[in-house]
Amino acid sequence: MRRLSLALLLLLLSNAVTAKTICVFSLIGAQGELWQLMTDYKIAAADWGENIALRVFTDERVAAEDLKAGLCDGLLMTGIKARQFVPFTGSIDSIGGLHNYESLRVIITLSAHQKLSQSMRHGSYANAGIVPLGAAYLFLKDRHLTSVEKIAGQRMAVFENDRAQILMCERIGALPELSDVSNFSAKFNNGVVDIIAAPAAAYLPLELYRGVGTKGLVVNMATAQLTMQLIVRDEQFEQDFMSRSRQFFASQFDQAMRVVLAAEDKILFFYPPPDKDIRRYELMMNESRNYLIDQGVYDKNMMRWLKKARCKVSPARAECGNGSEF
Amino acid sequence: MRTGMILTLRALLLLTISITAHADGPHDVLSRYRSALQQQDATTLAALFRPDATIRIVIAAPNEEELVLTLTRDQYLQQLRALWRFALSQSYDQSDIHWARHGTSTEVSLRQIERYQLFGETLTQDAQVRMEIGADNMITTINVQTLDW
Repeated sequence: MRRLSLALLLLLLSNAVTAKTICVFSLIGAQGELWQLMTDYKIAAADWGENIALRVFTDERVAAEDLKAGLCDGLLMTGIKARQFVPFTGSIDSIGGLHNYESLRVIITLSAHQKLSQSMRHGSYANAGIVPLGAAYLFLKDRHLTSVEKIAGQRMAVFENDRAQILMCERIGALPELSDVSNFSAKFNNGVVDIIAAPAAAYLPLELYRGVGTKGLVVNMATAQLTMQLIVRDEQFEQDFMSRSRQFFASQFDQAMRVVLAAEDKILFFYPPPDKDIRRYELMMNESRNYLIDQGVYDKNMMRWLKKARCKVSPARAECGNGSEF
Repeated sequence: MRTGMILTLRALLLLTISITAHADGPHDVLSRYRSALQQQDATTLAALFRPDATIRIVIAAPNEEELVLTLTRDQYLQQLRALWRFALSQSYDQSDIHWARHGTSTEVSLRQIERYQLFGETLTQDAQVRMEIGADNMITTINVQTLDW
């Protein structure tokens, strides 16, 4: 009996020791759609022969440090954060990179394809899956300051870990207010900043409607497509697992989009840019994208793929016949 | 006497048919539009619009350039749903209704005063609305000229 108990204990310990730790960045902790997705992922991974333990972080910076320190074997993080680990996939979340969800679907489907598997790796890390978080929209406190020219001079919250946002903010003449994901919404709601960029998923949980109030506006034009990406320590997982993992995440696209669209449906004062400013907004996105590529912020290989995706989905776009590289 | 009664009945019948046909037309569209707004019925509203309908909103404010926004049907309906979700004690009053025929389409203009409470503020939106209804009795365009709230 004692031997049996000891054997069982050893078996349990063995499982605990061999379980890979996948950390999950979630602002709302171990709950909600994202956590449910990772719970489903854990079950799927068990079918693939990989024992996964999930660990949640509400602070993305701390989670990333744990990944670097080897305390996490993988981390589900924002695409912006993922750029420092795998620049190729981290550039999906580029300003002006993808204009709609169909083009994002093309890229995520492609990322799960075997032919891109080498590009999905960078140094010690690899991308094991991508799921949409929703487009980033500009939230403004004053709807009469929506033109690109009038944005100049306004204070804008930019994430300090995203050089792209800082550079773009400076380029359009707005005043950057360094922030992070834990404080940008409070700064907007309390009037410290006049503009933020955020996905619809943040609207209700972070009460962004307070910042918009009755005088503001949310510009219904995607500035970037945001994603959540699973970045893992490459040596910890077999290639077969990686392939299955990417395909798993790609298969979750429609479900993730249902959540995104449901969140977008709730945004009040969600208007397209004023008629006279639509073309200027499009130009601003394109120019910002090209500027940031020149500055080395985005991976050029991914930027070529993004253009292919934009043109596959919307071949009538002017850029699709002008021979431009990005 | 009998002939007179028959004529009266025929006249009444014709009048009834006329009213019924008229009720299925643009007047009925407006009636259903007004009713759906009051009842916050997005499904009924959606069915009144052509899928490619456009809603043009011009917001005027003192010392500010006019804000001109063009929404698709889906964007317009989304905004109504969002407003209904957040606003309290919302009411719509329409008055000064005028009709005009333009070929096969009908234009109706009216004044619409919308009142609601939003984020602790009591807001009133006073707008001039022009609605175009196609020969298929579906709304093709709405133009709204409003003062900023």
